[in-house]
Amino acid sequence: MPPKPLIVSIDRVEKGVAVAESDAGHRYEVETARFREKPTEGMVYRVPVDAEGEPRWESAHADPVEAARRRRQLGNRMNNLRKGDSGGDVKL
Amino acid sequence: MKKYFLLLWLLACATARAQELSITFLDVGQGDAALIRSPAGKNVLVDAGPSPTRVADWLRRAKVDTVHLAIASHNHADHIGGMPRVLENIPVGSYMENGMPATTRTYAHIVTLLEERGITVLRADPRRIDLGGGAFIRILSSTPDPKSQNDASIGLELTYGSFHALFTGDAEQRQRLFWSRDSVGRVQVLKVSHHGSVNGTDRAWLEPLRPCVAIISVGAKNSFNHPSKAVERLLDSVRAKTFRTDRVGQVSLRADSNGTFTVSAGKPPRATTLDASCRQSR
Repeated sequence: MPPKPLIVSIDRVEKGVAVAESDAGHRYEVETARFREKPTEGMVYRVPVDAEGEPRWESAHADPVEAARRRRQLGNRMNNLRKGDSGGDVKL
Repeated sequence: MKKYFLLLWLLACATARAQELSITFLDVGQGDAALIRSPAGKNVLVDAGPSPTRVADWLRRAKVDTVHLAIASHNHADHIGGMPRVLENIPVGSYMENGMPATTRTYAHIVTLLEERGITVLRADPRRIDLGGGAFIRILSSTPDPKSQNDASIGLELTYGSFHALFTGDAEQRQRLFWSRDSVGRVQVLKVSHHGSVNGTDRAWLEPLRPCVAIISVGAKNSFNHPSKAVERLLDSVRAKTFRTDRVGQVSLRADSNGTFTVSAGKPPRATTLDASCRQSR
């Protein structure tokens, strides 16, 4: 049975390097040229891993539906948390 | 009699220290984290670096028992990587972020911790935050419809009497242009945007600010070649004294409301005191 693919989110892209964070909490710095299409900030990828457990970035599949779902769900939860903010100036 | 004068002197020193504003730019490797402590003892954490543990450990060693406000300038891992551990281990009064959700596990963890602990989340709207003892933070207006986390960075102007410091996150040109129109003027201290990257600083941005001291929070031998030599030259050209955390480690500042401030950095730390016009005063 092939190992489960990694699920990573692109934290940021800087100077030809994509910083990806896996759902297990590991961070990777990957040259953007290794992806089939240029990765973008916030995109979620499913990345196959080889027998040694190394990610095969060349075969990564973008999952825009999952990326949109995460943005929407986390954005809604954060908006709920902001309801406690009455606005205006604040005294700590 | 001698003992009496010594006691009075110690008391005077303690009172003077209590009326100071302090800012510590932590050495967090390739990322940003800074702690502001107001003269009234209120602690504001601006970003938490990339490491899951480094900032929380530092806060514990520094005996910071409450963070009254934690601010994530934007939701990149090199600025929020240590935020979950801070939220888990230290009471946090309020939290502010840029309102642009990330899709990472770290961000999701932060949202869960804010919910679990019932921490109020403040909107990053233009507003004034009173830190007590005469110190204020002004949240700068933000560019509408930002396209990236960097350009959604929260800008903070910290004021204590005649002392001003500007925190810029990783803002790029679009956000900086917006701030330039938001009456941001002369500052004594500038946290240089985006780790000294060429897209974080230009002459048009620097000239009105004319900082005495510029802090570049950056990791040694990072993958992104930060900071840019051109930015360091620009900072030299406006006579800003630049401190890079990869070279000098943590940078600590203590400011008086008359604008005089002392910067300590290096191993062992060396202190320099400047007045509000950047003249070395003692």
